[in-house]
Amino acid sequence: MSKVSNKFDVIAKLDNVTKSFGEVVAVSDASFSIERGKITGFLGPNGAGKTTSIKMILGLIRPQKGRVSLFGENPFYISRIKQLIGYIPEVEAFPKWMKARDYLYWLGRFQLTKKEAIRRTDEVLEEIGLLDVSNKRIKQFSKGMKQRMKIGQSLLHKPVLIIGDEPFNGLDPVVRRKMFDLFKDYTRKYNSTFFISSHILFEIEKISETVILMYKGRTIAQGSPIRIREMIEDQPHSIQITVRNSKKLSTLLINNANEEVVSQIQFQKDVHSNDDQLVVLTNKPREFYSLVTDIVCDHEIPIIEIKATDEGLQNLYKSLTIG
Amino acid sequence: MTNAKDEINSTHYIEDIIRAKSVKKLVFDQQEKLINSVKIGFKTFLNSKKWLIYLAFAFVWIPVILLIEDFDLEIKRPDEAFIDVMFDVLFPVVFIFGCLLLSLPLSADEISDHSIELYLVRPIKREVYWLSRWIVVNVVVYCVNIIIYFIYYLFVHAFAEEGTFAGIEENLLVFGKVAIILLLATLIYSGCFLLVGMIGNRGLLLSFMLAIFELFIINFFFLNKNPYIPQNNIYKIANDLLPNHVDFDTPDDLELLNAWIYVTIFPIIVFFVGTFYLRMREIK
Repeated sequence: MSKVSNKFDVIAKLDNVTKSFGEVVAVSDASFSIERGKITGFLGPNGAGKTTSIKMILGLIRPQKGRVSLFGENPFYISRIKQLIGYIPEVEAFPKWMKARDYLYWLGRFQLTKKEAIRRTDEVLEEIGLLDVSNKRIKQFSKGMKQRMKIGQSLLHKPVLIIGDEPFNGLDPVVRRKMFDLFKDYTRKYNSTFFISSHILFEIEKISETVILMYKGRTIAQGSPIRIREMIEDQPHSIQITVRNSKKLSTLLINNANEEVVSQIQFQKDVHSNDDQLVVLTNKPREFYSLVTDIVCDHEIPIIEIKATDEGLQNLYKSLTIG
Repeated sequence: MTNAKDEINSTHYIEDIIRAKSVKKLVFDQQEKLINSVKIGFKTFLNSKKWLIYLAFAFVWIPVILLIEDFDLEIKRPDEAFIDVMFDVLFPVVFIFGCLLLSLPLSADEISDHSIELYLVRPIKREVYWLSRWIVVNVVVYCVNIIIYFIYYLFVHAFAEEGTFAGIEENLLVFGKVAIILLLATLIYSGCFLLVGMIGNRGLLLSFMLAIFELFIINFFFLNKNPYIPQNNIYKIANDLLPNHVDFDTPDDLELLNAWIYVTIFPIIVFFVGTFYLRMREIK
C-alpha cells in the first residue's frame, strides 16, 4: 500500500475527547477511530454520548479536551472536508415547506453542479424508493418515508464518509433490509465508509464489520459484532418467569441445575396480575431455557410468561465499565 | 465534484479535496455556495408565509382609517399625510415587528427545524452561510416594506382633496427620500434581529424583547436622548432629508455627519459580530 493510501486508512479519529454541557458530562475521555471502506457500528444506550460524539466529528460542536480529526483536519474550522461527508441526523431536519425533490436538489447543489444535482436527485429518489412521491411535501410523509429522505440527502454526492445517527429509526423491517443493502452497495461501488449509531444491537450486528461500544460517555469496547455478541452472551442473563406455582418451580430449578445455570432466584409479584414471578439470573441462558422446558413438561407446571428482562447489553456495559 | 466511477472516493480524490487550493478557486467555490444558500434563503422566506402575516399587520390600518373617516378622507396634503403615516405608525411600530417576523424564518426557524445542521455539514463556510442569510434578510425586509410604503403612498394620493392621485408625481421625491431612510433602517434593524434570532431556542423570545425595547423602553427612559440609539440617528438624518415634513427631537450633541457615520458603521459591526458569533457557535 502506498504512503498516500495509508494516510486515509483512518478517516476520523477522537483522541481522549471530553465534552460536557453545564454539569452534564456527555463524553468523557473517549477515543476511537473510523476506518476507511468499512461499516462501523456505534452502539450504546440512549444518553451514552453517541450524538455528541457524532456532532464533534461533524464539526458542529467542539470538544473541551482532546482532539477530533476528520481526514486529518479540524472539522470545526475546515469546511472543505465536508465535501467528503454525508450526515443522517437523528432528528427531523426538514424545512416544512419543501417537496422531496426540492429538498434533495437544493442540498445536493452545495456539492454538485446543477446537472449532476438533477441527475443524482432522481437516482437517489429511486434508491430510497420515493420517486413516485417526489413532488409531495415532506411534511405529508410518514415517519419511515422521512427517515428515507434523511438517508437520501446524505448519499447525494457519494461521500467518502456517511455518518448516521440512528438512521434506521422508524423503518419497517422490509425497508430496513433495503437500506442495509443500499449501504452495502455504496461501500462496494463507491468505497464509502459508514459510521452508524444505534442503541439496538440487532441492527448494528446485521450491517457492521466493526462495533464501537459507548456507555456513559466513554468508549468501552471495540471489535467485530461476533465478538461483541459473545461478550454479551458471557454476561449473566436475567430471565423473568410468571407462573402459578413459583415455589415448586424454584425448588425443581435449584435441584436440577448447577450454579452456572441458575446463579440466583428472586421471588416477586406481577404488578398488574398479582401472579407469582421468579427472576432467575443465569450464566448459561441456552442451557437454562432447555432445563425449564424439561421441568415444565415433566411436572406439568403451567407457565404464564417467560421473558428475558434485557439482552445482556446493560450487563455488558456495566461489567465493562466497572472493570 | 464527482469523478468517474473508479475515481470516486479514491485517495487521490480525497487528497484533491483536502489539499489547499488556490485562493481564487476557494473564493469561486464559496461564491457558488453563497448563491445556492441565498436561493434557499429566498425560498425559505417565501414559503414561511410570515410575510403574509406582516402584510396583514401593515395593511390593517387602511380599513381602520377608512372606517373612522367614514370613507370620506379628502386629504389636503398627501405628502404630509404619507409622512405622518410613515413616521407615526409604519416606521416606529410596524417596521420593527416586520424585521422580527421576516427574519425569523432564516434564523430561529432554521434552528428549531434543525435545517441549519444540514447546511453547516455541507462544505459552506459558516461566514458564507451567515452572509447569505444577512443578504436575504436585508433584501426581503427592504422589498416587503417598500411595497407596503408604496401602497400607502398610493392610498393617501387616492384620497387627495384636489382629485384622485393628484400630486402623485410631484411627491415622488418625498417617497424617494423615505426609501433612503427605509434602507438605512433596514440595514440597521434586520441584521440585529437576524443575529438575535440565531441565539438558538431563545431567539424568538429575545427578538420579541428587542422589539419591545426598541418600541417602548427607550422612549420612556433616558435613552431617548442618547446619540448611540439607532432610532435617534435615523431621525437626525430624516430631519435633514425631509426638512419641510419632519422635525424630530434628536439629542443636542448628535451631529449630522456623526449620524451618517453611525448608520453606516452600525450594520457593518452587526455583520461582523454575527460572523464571529456563527464561527464560534456550537449547534448542539
